[in-house]
Amino acid sequence: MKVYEKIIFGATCYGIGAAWNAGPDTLILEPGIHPGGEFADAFDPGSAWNGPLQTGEARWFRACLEKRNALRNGAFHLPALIPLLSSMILENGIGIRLGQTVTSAIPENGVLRIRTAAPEGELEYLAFSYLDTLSVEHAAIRKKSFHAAISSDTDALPQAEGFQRGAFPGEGYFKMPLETSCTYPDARLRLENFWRTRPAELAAWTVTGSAMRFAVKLEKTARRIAPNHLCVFSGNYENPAAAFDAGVAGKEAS
Amino acid sequence: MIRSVISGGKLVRTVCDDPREEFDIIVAGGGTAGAIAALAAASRGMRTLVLEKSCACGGIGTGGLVSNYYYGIRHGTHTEIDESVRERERNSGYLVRPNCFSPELKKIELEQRILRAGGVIRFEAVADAVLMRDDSAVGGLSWHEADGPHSARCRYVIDATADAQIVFLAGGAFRFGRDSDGLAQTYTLNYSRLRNGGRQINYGDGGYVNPSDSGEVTDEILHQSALLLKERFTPEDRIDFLSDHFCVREGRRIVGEANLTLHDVIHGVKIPEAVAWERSNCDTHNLDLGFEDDTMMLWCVAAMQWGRVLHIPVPRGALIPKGLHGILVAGRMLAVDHDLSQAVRMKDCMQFTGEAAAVMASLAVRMRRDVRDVPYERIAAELAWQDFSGENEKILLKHQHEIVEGLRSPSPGRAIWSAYRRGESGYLEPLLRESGAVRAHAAFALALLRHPDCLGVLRELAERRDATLAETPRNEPHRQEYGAIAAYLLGFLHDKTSVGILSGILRERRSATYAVNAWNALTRIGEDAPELRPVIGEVLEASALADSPPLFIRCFGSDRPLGILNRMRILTAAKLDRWGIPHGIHAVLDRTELTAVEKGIRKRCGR
Repeated sequence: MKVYEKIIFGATCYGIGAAWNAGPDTLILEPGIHPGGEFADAFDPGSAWNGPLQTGEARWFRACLEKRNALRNGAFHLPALIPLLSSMILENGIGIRLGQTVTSAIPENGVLRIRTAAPEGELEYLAFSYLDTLSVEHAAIRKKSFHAAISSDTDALPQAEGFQRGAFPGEGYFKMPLETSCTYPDARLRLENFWRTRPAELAAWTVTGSAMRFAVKLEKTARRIAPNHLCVFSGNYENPAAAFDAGVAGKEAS
Repeated sequence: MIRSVISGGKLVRTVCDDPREEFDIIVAGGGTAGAIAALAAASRGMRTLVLEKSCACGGIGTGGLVSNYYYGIRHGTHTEIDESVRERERNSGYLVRPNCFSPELKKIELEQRILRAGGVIRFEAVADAVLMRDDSAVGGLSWHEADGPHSARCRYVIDATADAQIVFLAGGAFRFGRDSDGLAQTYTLNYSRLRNGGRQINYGDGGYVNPSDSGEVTDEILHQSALLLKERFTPEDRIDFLSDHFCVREGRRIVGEANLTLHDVIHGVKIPEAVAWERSNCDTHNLDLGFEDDTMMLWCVAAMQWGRVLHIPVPRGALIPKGLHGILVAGRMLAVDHDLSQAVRMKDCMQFTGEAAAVMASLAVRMRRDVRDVPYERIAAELAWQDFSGENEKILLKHQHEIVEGLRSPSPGRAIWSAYRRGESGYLEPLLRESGAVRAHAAFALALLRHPDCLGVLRELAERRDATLAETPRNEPHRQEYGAIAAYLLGFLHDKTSVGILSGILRERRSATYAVNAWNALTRIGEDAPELRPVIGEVLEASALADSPPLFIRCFGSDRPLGILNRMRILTAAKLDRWGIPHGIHAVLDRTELTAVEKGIRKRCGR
């Protein structure tokens, strides 16, 4: 059985960054179907897009978004993220498997035996190191919110807490803060109730969709489980470029 | 208990501890069928757990953004839910597209109803093993959540994973795809977008994929997603968001206690013990129809019945995996053949199969019997649907003069099928000597009856690439020119005389339809006539090695071109290998960068 140099759980922005210069002995395992899902599926367009980036790769990534008109004056057209990351993965030949959930990573004779639940059943991989960029330990959650994509024919989105513009007129996000114990059914119900009785200045805005996962921030971005087993939570970074940057640089904490 | 998984492609069973948690029914998958199954089971007083890998219920109908209905029969719990969603939509401020329901509000309606009925929902939960009481009895599941592994016992599992994942992990038998190249139906990757001032869902097809092969899935999804990358994003034509559901029309289909086929449905075979009804046309999106089997080709192409709406009973046995106990399926992995799976997959029926599975499982739990031993009358009484038996036979024209009249018309499909089902040819033969399209129509009807007198007309039609298109109720893109239909039928009739004509068609590559039909015909003739294999083999090889003209189909509902040359190369190489004819196609394939799907076909062909 092939022994990978590194297996990365999560086709997150950090995970893709970590695989960017790693070569063919690195493999990303992603349970969902969207690269960058920690931002894209959480409907989290990020913030502080003009912040400093350490790596040329991340500056190129941000410039790509600007050139394609998806990043305008610090406002992000979030739906551009998945197509761009998909294209980057293909063009850079990054090893990746979608639809695989890592169920265990057990040390064994100097390597890690990583098991996944996959459409093919249970699959096993061996790796010298394991980087988890996705898993959320409930007790470590510092902040949790549930987001909705909202749209309007007008562009008068209130400059209020919880509302964020996209890059284009009539494109916005509503971020509903939650206590860490809140479940998806409760979050959706609260969103519905809020929106049904929303303030008059939001009357022209409709909910086009609700997030496909919670947006969460953890107490700590990075946690070392063992010398060859590291957790770096990509969703903790301020925006996809910052997460990608940290991944390329191998930065463990922000 | 015994933990059962497929590990590294092999069935592995190991003894494990009994889980402490217990339910009457565990529903694996809270999607289209599973959410309704969970609600129906919990409403019947069953202690019910539903495991859903995403963060919401409803599957394709909510997260997948398919928020309208295609045909179907509005009957059952899901219709009440849809009515409640309509109520919820009023003054909600949620987007509701014309003739659609709000997928967001349906998520809420489904989960709130399940919870109110006492059901337990675990989101972001992936089933990873089946717990068995013995070699054949399913008795629980184990699954993975963010906080680690979980497991529970149960009396019945309802596999609503869409790909029969639980049946697969339990070692049950299943089928996949069509016989020719092993491909199933095309998929879509839906997304919400703003275009022309309105919000639409893009449903355009992407191509083929085997959803139980993560390599193929990865390749397809990344390529499809990358196609959405624009040189310059604009506010006028933009994506709102991409669905996190991969909208697959066909995955694994179980081998059931009863196995339903399109052939049986369109031939009026009586199907007992229906627990649900589908109402749909045989809605294949596959535009390379020449790779489908004869039943599909005769029904959809030669008899032009693609758009014909059928009433299809789903028998109880189609929900019961053969050889396994304590488990039922609901949703698109029912025991139907590939042909019929293109009809029996619409949301109305799929939701209703969830309800049917829940009723069957609940009765089995209450009566402490295997579901096979629950009296059918008890099941039917709880489901209480209208019986549509005999409905499909109404399309048949009863009298000869009606059939002849139909064959003289520009829309001859119903008459061709009626003539075939009637089974007599005498009154059709004189029509071959008339002028105009009736000759072709009579020839098609006689071809279905395998009557050799039609061959002359078929050869003529194929030789001149007759470009006539019949009128059909929906004038769909599946309609084929008479020349292409004739090419297929010449193969169906194993007409050795037409090898020259068919070779010409294959060489010229007028269109993918012509090429695939001619390829199909030539390989069939070669199968039947070993003496012709060297001649046919030479034509097939030359065609496979030629790079131009390009050979592609357009995906249904989208403009995406889907190349089929490599597929034809792979199938040709396999055929020539089998015939013992040396060729150079493997060398070309070895140098070609194949897609994951093409590699899969090649692997299935033994390379």
